[in-house]
Amino acid sequence: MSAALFYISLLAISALLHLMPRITRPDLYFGVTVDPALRISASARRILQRYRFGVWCSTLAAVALQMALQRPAVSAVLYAVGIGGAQLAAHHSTLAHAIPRATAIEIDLSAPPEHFPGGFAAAALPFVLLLVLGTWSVSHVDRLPGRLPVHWSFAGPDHWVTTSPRLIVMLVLLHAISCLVLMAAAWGVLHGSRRICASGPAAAAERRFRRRTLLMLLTVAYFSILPPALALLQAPVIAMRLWSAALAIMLLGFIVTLLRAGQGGARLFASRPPVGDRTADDRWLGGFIYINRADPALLVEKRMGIGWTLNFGNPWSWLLIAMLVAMVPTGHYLLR
Amino acid sequence: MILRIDPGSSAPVYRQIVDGLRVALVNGDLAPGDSLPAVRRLALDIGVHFNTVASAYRELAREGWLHISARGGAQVQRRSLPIAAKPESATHRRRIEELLAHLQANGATPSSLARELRRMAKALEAS
Repeated sequence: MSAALFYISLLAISALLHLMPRITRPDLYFGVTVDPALRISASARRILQRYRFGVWCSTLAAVALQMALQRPAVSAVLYAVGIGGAQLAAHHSTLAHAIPRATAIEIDLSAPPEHFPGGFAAAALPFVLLLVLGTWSVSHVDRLPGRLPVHWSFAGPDHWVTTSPRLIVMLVLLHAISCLVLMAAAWGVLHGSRRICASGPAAAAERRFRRRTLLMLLTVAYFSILPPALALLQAPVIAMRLWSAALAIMLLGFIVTLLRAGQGGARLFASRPPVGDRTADDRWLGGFIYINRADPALLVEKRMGIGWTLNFGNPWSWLLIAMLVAMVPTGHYLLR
Repeated sequence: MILRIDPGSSAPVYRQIVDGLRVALVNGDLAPGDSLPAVRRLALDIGVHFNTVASAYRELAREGWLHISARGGAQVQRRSLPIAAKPESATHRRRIEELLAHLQANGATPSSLARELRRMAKALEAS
């Protein structure tokens, strides 16, 4: 089952990477600011063909290696190196077609303010639910089974820990932290990222794209509090399977909607957006990594792919990364 | 109401924000009671430090155009016109000449500037 999942994941990622150049803003191609007309030129098609060839060759190589060695980690590293190389080569070829970005900025002073979906109550509710769950479980610890599942595979729970008040607190705390990370990401999208289009249908499309992303993050945050609830309420194994299936379907739905909208809602309107994404080409490493100390933005729109990426010139982004990296060993330590 | 800022221009961004907002306030594009974007929001959208926008808002607040709340929001307030001590046409002329010289140094042609000045004079006389 895990091998099948590995192959399906590889194919899904490759399909996304195949589509990726078509869903970025029209004036950005492989992370470089270009004239939107470049996309239909022969040179752009050549760059695209070489990139897609690289992506599918890497996929085939990774699948072959996995079949031969049965070592997913080795295959995944080979795959990452292959697709990274294909993207960097495409970025390098596109640099020859770079144009200066528009430096003039338009700000709509009468733009409607954007709010978190559901407001403060929607953001706080998962934490309140976790608090109630934790309090109830600690006070009824004698009614809980001797062991609690804390990790699941397709076959069912595969990691158990001995039930104790400390364990319950840690379990609830860990899920509260993961929920907090998702809420922080949503906050970053809403208040820590730049509006690119000032007015008209382009700005409306951008707002719609942002709202869909916020809804996705909020829904995932709500989903993230269910596993401890299912474990502590002793739900049958089928409940966890249903949770996984519902999460996968929900994520797939959101991803399809966002892909159809294009980066920043660029596919939802026909008019020409401003040239560039208000970030300088020379602040991007390979079109992937944005480092600009002078830019107060925490998140900026990805130039390759969809959604947002961190501004590594902002010290807060390093704090977020440290939190994410620390979560895995902390989880293992607390739930040992 | 659209505020246009060019960080690539020779004029400091702080000055562009103050001048752009003042034009909108004088023309009535921004009316008393209108809210301006929060300092952090505007700084993020322009891509400058928060202090740049905060200083611009403070200057307009000193001139009596804005009321700044503790949370960084700014609201347009009714402003009584300052009473001029006496007409200072020499000062006005000097400032206009300085501006015209600056624009010509940046490539504006005398004919285009004259056309624009005539259009503005007509609008002023009509107001």
